[in-house]
Amino acid sequence: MSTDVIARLAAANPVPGPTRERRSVRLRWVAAAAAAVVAVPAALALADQIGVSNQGTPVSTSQVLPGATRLDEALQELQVGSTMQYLGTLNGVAFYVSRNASGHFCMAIDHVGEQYDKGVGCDFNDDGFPSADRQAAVFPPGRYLEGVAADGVAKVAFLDADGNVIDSTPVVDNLFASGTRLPQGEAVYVETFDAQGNVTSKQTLRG
Amino acid sequence: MQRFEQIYEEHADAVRAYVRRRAPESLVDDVVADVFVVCLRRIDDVPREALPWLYGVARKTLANERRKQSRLVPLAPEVSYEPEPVGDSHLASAFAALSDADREILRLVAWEGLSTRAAARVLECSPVAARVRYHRAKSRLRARLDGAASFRPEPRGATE
Repeated sequence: MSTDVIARLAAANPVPGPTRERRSVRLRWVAAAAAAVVAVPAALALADQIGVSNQGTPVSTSQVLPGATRLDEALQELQVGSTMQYLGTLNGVAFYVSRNASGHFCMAIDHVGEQYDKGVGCDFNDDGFPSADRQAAVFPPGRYLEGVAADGVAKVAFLDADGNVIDSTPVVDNLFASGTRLPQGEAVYVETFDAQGNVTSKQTLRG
Repeated sequence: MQRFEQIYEEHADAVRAYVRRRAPESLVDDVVADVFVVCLRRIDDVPREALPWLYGVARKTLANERRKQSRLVPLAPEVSYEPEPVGDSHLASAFAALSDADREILRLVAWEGLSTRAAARVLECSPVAARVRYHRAKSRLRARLDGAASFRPEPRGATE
């Protein structure tokens, strides 16, 4: 009887256990929320390592998310180094990128003027952005269609589990920011398109 | 960094599921992110069996989030929302009537699939205490499910 109670409860799990299947492409980020942005010039040949045409301008990492203690600590712990590249602000979202000590692509975003929706993360995939399979670095994954796109990508789109487009936005200077906040879990795939509208990659977002 | 990556790879989905079973979607990203920021910061403290430790961090993070929100407004409905058992309304009612502590130990065993020993690490209590808490919670849930059938009016007066 007692086992039945637990079995019955287990069967009514509102979020059934995560599957162990490996996804073709995984986005692996560490993120957080808070703070604001001030750009300060600094000198570093980081721009060449980013891997996209928009090389931006160097800024001191300590000034990327000032006052956001958790984010600032995360930047340090992710070992993003002393400098990030400010790639620009699109639709109210400022983008900063870097390669950390292990060479992973890292990104900090700031919804300028908003108290929340700021964060920092690194992509720990071995075949990380930009690569043939990873033509868009989306951050935070699945919530906003925002991030950095590889050269040659003209548009990015979020798709649901059935492959329907639920949000799309053009790429400007390797950046994209649609501004639409989506319910978590709705977006399952990210597709990238070239200027002719051809699909150039389809990535699976982690759920 | 390599160990952190391995922990993230192995457990991120499970941590996300844990949070989603206890919080509204609007909080899930932030809470999961905070858990792994703590993990990264305290990587040397993370035990070999990392998942219960991560659940413990998530539990505290959720509690902090709720406290923070309750200071701003009288516990916004979205924050106080807690996913309930699905597809079994009788069970959902019985489960909702349990205390927070009872619900949590039952969730850890039934939904996270933990042993009571692992659940003890999440709840930061002894394995014996977790086992006792589990059995009592299970009994209370069973009694709630049996409900009307087990209900007896309180005796009134005395007979002799």
